Amino acid sequence: MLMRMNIRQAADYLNLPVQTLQRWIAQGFLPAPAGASLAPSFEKDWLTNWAKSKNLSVGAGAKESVPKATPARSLVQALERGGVFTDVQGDTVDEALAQAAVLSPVPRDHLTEFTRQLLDRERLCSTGQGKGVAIPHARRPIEDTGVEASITTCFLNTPLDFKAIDGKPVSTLFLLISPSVDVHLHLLSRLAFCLRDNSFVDFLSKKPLPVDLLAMAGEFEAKVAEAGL
Amino acid sequence: MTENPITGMARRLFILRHEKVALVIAGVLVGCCSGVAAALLSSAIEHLSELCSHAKQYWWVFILPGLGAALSSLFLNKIVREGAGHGVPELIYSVSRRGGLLRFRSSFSRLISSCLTIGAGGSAGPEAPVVMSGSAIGSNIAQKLGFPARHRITLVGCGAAAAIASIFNAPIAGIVFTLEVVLGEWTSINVIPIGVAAVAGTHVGRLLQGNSIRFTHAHFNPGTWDIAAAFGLALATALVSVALSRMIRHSGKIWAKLPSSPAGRALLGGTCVGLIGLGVPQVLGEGYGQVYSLIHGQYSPGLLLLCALLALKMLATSLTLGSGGSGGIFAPGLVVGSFTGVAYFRLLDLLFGVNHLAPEGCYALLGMAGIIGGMLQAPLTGLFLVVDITSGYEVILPLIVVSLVSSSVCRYFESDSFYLKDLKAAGGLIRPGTDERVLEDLQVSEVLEKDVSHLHNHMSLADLVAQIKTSHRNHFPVLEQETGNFLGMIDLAKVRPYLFSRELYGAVLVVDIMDPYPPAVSPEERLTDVLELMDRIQAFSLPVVSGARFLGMVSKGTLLDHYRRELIVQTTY
Repeated sequence: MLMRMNIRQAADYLNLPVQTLQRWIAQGFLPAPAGASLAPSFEKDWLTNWAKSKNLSVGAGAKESVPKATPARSLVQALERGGVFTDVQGDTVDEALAQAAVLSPVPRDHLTEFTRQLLDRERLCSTGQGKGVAIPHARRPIEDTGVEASITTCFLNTPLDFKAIDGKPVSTLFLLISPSVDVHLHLLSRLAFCLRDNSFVDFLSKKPLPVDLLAMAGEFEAKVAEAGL
Repeated sequence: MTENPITGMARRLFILRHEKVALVIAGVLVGCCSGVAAALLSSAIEHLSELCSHAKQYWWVFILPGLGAALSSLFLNKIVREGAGHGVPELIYSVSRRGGLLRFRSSFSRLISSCLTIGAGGSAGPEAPVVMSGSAIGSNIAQKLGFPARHRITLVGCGAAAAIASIFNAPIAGIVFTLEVVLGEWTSINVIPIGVAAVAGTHVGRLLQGNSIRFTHAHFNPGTWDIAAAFGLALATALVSVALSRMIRHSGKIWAKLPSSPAGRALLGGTCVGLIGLGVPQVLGEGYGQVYSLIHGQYSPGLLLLCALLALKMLATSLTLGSGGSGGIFAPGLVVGSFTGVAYFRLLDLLFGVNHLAPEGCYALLGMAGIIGGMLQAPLTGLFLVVDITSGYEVILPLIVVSLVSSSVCRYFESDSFYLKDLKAAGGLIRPGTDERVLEDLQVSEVLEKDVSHLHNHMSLADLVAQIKTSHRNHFPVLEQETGNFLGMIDLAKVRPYLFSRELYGAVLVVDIMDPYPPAVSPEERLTDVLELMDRIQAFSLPVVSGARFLGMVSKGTLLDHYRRELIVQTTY
């Protein structure tokens, strides 16, 4: 069935102001039935071909045309997806990071590459945040792997020297994986909000159960929402 | 709105999306009407001149050109209320700025007025008036049939082409003149209907007036020396063209200062021409008789007399046109050109002897192409007009040289052609597919960016920082909370250093740091001016304000998007 559009729909379809289309019709650049300036209507296929001949883009606006799967932006969901692991083995920073990468939801065929990126990033500058916590992550977001944002929590068996700002050995790792920069920044800022609070850090040092950690994170996330950040 | 049956017919054609076919059919119609108008004018002038020639034996004959010009001026000013002159600049203005809209009365007003001026002996040509008529016929037919602006302009061109084609029996000259001078655009969508109209116009002209080449001549066979001599002739015609253009323009300015009514001026000017005509009747009327005898080498006067005739013809033309007579410069241009050509030939003869050159009639042809090409700064028009009206294809090589060189040399002295100079100075000339055209067509409201978050006058720096977090823009308008009136703009670039001073967050209000008198544009402003303002103040985007209301922003980025789209749409077929 032929789909017909009125001028408003046609303008939306071509991402142009209605006024421009009306002017083009009056000037004769857009062929429309003569005398039909009252209510010209266009067949969709014809309009598409016309737009193609003029190198105009068609379809819904650029914003809608790239539908990104809204990734989980919530800290709790990311923590849940990443999992919480206690007694993670590792005598060096590299070993601990490699072990954490194995525990993370990164697909197996990307694991080697991901671990390499993780170590590279760590060499560039320590991810130790102080207060015994490190947030290791890869420099580039993991794209095209279908991986959703996740934070894998690892309580280390032996605290390690991450060369953190405060020099304290690190006993908790939050391995952050994100599909894009904005999600990365978003989760990082929420995590940082939690870590600013000493009660949260103390709570971590007790190596809580996954359920308790998620509950605690949930409480903090509610505070963030309250603060409007 | 109810449709009349004609619009209905055009509509059906359009619904089939056969706009090109519709245009060609309409072109034939316009061509025929325009051809009839040209034939009518030709024969009316012929009859009127014949009538006036009966008065030759009376002493008061010199007043006839003045009377004709005065009547024509009265007719134009009082009855049809149109401007004097030949109308081509008005036509080009309409094509440039008014989408080819012309009044119906233009289709006959200049026919009558130029008939009065020329028939009574004024030194002017009937071609430009008939071009105006043909174009007005084209425009009105297009309006009746409901064609959009671009096609209306094409039909205006059809009328112009058919007019020239019919009056000169010169189809190619009609097409080339229209594309080169009137429309300034050669595209497939224009050329086909215009070509068809020229054919129709020429044929109608031939049916009504007979098929005769206006200036048939003996066979010329120009050689190498003639081509060389053509360069010199081109210089001569260029200088004469510039002189004639300036004489007509200055004469117009001088006459305008005269404290008299337009009709009085025309009477006086025409009488002056009549007085010249008492002594030298060769300068009167369109003067094609002179051209004919010059081409046939039957012109007896010597070099000095020829030069005097040339000067007097130029004087008579500038008097007629400057004082408000109605007519064009084609015919006087051809006469002046043939005088120049023959005078040049005789000068060469005097200096070097002319054993190796073609006969002097050949130089009359070359001179005509030089003057038309020079005055109109349209080399192809000059070239094809002469080829058409003399069937002089064998002289094509020196013709090309003369008309191209003459046109280029003229451009050196006069930045624009005779038709376009005043128009361009007044900003009335916009050619299709140019930067000016695109910026003229696009409106501020079409490129307006409305997704702008605004601030209120009670807001503090902290609120601004919060806005910045969610906005992707660098400019924030500040509006009055109660009335919504526009108060000023905040440019991030200017307040950036303070955004990080937390101690200022509560203490500083947005009204303290905004620019209360930012450069702004109104929605009616032309985009050319907007861009000029942006360049001048080095701004990338400007607020659009109507009265006290903020409407949105206009930025170079969005403008470029629209500009490019507009250019593509306007220039692809």
